[in-house]
Amino acid sequence: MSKRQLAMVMDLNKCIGCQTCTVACKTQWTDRNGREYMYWNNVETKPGPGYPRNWEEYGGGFDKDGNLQEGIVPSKSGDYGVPWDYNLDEVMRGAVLEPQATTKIGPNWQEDVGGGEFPNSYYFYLPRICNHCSNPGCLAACPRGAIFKRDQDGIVLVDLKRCEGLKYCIAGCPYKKIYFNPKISKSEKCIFCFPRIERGLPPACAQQCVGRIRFVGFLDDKDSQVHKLVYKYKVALPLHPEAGTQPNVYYVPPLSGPRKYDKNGRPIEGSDRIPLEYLESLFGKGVKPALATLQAEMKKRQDGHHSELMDLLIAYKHSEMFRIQTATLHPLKVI
Amino acid sequence: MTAWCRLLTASLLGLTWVLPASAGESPLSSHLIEAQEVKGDLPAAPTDPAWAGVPARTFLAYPQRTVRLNDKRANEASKTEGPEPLAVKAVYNARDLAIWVEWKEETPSKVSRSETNVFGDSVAFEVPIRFGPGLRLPYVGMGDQKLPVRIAMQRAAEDGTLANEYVAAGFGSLTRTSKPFAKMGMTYDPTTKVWRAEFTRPLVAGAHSMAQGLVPIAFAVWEGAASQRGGNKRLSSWQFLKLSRYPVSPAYQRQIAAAVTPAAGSAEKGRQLVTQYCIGCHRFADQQSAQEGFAPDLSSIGAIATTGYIRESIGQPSEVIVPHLNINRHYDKSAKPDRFRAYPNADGFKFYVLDDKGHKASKMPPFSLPKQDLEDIVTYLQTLDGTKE
Repeated sequence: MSKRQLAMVMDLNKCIGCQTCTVACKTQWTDRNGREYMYWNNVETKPGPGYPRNWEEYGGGFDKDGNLQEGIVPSKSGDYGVPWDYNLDEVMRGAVLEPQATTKIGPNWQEDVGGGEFPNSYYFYLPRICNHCSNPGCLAACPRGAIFKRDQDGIVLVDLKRCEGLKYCIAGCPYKKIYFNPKISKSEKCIFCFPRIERGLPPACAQQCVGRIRFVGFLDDKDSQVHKLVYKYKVALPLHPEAGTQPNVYYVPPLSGPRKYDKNGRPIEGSDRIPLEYLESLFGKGVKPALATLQAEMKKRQDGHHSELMDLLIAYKHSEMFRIQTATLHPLKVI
Repeated sequence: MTAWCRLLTASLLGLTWVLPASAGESPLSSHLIEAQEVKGDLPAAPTDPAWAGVPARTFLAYPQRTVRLNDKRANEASKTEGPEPLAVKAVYNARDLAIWVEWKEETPSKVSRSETNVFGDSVAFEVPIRFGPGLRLPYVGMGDQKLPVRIAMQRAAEDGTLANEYVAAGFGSLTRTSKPFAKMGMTYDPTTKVWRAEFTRPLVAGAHSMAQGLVPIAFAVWEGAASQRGGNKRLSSWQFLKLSRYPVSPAYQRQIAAAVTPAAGSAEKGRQLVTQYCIGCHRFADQQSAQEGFAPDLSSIGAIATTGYIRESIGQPSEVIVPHLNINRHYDKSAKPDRFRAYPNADGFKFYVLDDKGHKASKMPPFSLPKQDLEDIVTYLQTLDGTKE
């Protein structure tokens, strides 16, 4: 649909769930003007209901024949969570820390739940931004044609002048990554930090990432890290590809972690703590070969051989993570 | 009794002269909204007691079924929803026109400034930008490219009434006007459970004049509690605002009467013909085999379209090309995706094709049918009011 396509790859094996990306995005874009409840970038724990709660059950996306499917518009108070403050002034005078509102739900409300039974419980973090899809559900759903995909980089944006706040886009996005701003009655979403991209800088979430899990570049640039991870090594996979929107954020699936324990507390050789079926329900059938490639390359490196894939994923320098060459007037050097 | 009311009574008495009793059954008069001429100020709000003396005409607004949008809750609510009776009154003086609308609402809902999935009860009317002798009526679904409409819309909000005016040339094209003309307000009456709304505007505003004897006008209402907004709404067919102060040419009167006079063929024969010719592309009543979104759904065509429009859309389908929804709603899964895995749009879902000169023509070919067949088909289509599932 677009001439070029920016993409992001997130290595879930390195995400520590610190929410620095969330804060980077929030302070940059969503801490004001009706956007307070929005997390254009959020990190949720999987398995879990995520943000907005149960978003995977709220429809949108395309059916197998390529027709847009129905979806629902989540509620701020019931599904996203109303932001609250704490009684910090009173705490300074000895009070117990308490939220200043009756809190029912918030982003990543079930952070510590995860899946499985002790001692074989498991979880991992899933950072999410807008997928800047190749066939975006939000764009397709807008009856007014107010959502567009930029030709030069595939970033999906809302034309706020055309938007009438009808919210069909929210129903149409299978990831629920487009939000309604009730203060201005318009839809808003992750803009892939396009003002930064136009200066050759990665999005704020990627720049600030403590675990250095995020790679940014053009999918059509064969020398880009994202191209190598997605196409050459095929270790980066789209989230819920069955939703049919062809997302452009890709995930390196988490390796299974420690073995499961039997009832006597002994590790079960060859067991997967994170069930393969669960990972496949998120990232599709590419999970098994991707994990096999990762393990083979790890082994290679452990045996003292060179592995381009491992060197890539280690991400020593920002310049080895981001390759954003755009036709821009004022490029800034990535440091 | 105020001077205004006295005048109104006088003009009410004059009604018998303007509108003969027998005309109550004529096709045109069943579409007329008689505006009452008054001297002095118009009622300032929908609750103004002066409205009590103005007779109302009640007609139905039907669920929009031509295209189906993608909000699951709105679509579910719409399945069981019937037509909504609208009571409409109008008064005018030398300068301004006021329109009053009342409709029932058991569960009032207002636009929220904090919640993300709360919708406001709303009402709107549309008037063609150009109308009169020799001009057909615009497409009732917010006008068409040849004959755009002007729309005034108000929504109940928790911080007051949201009033907006638009021009539109078919759905999807709604554009806010930079120069609104109308004053609007709506009030909910919890005892009778009705919304009452008023629109007041100059008869002549900029280049747009409603100072004519017969003004085409159509209405729409939205039920917030049923997640209605945008295309999820109920709309009326074209009605005609009669301003007796201004003359109406007999030719225009005949033209309008012809457009709204129901066809008088055999609905049963028409049903057979429609089933034979149309079900490949169109959905209607119990005929649901066509692909959703492939062509306008005809389930409520009889309730919202005039006879003239239905007849024209069969014989000259390119005169008005109904807009399809966003073409990106359907992509071609059989095509080869591009290097970013994007599939091309399924162009078959466009409602038009381009001819050799690049002009848009309706995807539906013109049907030249024997006169009686056409009459039967139109007669059947006019029975479709969205209730035949």
